[in-house]
Amino acid sequence: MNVNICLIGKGIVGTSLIQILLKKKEFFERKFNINFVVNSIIEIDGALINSQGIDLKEVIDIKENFRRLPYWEKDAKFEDITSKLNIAICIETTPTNPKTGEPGLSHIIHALDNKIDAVSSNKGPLYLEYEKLRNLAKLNNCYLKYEATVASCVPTLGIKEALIANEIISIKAILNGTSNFILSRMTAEGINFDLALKEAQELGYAESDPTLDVEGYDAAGKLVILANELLGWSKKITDVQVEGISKVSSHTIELANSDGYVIKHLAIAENNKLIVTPRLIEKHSPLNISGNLNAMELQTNYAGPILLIGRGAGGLEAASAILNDLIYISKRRGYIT
Amino acid sequence: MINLEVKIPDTPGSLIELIKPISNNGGNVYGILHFHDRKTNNMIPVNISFELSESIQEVSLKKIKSELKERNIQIENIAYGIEKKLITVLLTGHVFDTDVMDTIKKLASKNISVLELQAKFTELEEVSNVKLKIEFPEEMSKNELIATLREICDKKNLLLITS
Repeated sequence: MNVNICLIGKGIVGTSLIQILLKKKEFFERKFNINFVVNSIIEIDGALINSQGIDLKEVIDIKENFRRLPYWEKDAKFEDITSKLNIAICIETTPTNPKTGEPGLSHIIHALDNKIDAVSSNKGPLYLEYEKLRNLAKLNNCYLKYEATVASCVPTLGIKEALIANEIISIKAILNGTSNFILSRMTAEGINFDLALKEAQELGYAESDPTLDVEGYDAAGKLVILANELLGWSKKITDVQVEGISKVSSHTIELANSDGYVIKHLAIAENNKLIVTPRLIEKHSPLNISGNLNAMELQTNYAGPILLIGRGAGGLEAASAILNDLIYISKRRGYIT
Repeated sequence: MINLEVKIPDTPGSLIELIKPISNNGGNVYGILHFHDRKTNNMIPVNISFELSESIQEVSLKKIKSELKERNIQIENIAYGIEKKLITVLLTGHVFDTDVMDTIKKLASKNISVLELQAKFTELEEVSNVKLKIEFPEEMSKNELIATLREICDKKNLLLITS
């Protein structure tokens, strides 16, 4: 069965998704009898449109020159395309705008309003307008999936179904690979914050402006999504008490170490409160992970503590989570029988 | 604090067999009492006190009991002692410039005692890092203590890092 997909955003995640769709095409046809047909790829200044399906290999091969392809339409917008094309699922992968969530928020709203199922790797819309989007999806009988918004390919949201017989009581997590990398390097080498940040930037683990990461705002947004999704809370980003790691020095870490502790930038949801802050954890704690990994420890009523650890970022990683969401929707829609 | 009452054989190496499962599973042994005068059938009663971190207590205690059983060490009794409420916190910022004695006195006014203070800084004008070991009253919850600390730290623009 053909399932028509609209991809919004051809950045690292969008391109990685195209790569995986190409690579796994035969696998999906063989295993699920499904063919994901990307009939539109939307960028800020136009779109690639082909109602019969875009040649994804051509898009990959031509790389940044994709605007030269004959089916590039300058200035085409998502809102115009939905009236022209048959789209079953839209995938929103544009960068997060932490203040407004735009343009991703409008894309998702438009999709749901037009009864199109939506998958998002863009977390801004979800932590800014979680309830609005969930209610809109329900109203329009649509699926809205966003596994890639928190810890990328680690199934931090999908685990809810696996734990359906349990009550999740609290969450303690490391949700930002940049700050974890910095603290890990400071701990391992005894270097100061500035040097560790520089190293992270050179390796591509930190942005040139790392504020959102090191001051905890990125983790705060992800924590809102986790708390609302796993604990059933109704929280907004303004409910999170946020403290960054930029004041942590090599001396702070030395003092922590002398008592058998390490310092980690934790995102915590417990007792109806959300907090992102540097915390002391014991060296043997399973949350003492190094590098740019993410981790999440859930406390449940029957199963006790459950820990997930994995890569929290990366194009292919996020794309694999998006693909999981596509399969999820396809199964429930009957595209896969 | 956890107190185990066991019986071990009066033979060389028995004590090690008792201590190993405890230390292998994260236990920090505080004290051991041997009651040689109460030996019966070559078995000596021993009391061993140890601490287990709260986050691993349940799992570790299970493992300790199981490993002691494998070593044929009979557990007579387990008791959980009333612990002094202690916490380690770090303060980062101009801790001394903002009058660290005032910070300690403010805590003392709420029956919170600073037992130990350790500081690290390079230059006098730079920010300092201070580790405080704090004892707080039985009736005060950890959240209440942290709220008190946070109030003081927010006023003095100090970063508070707790466990």
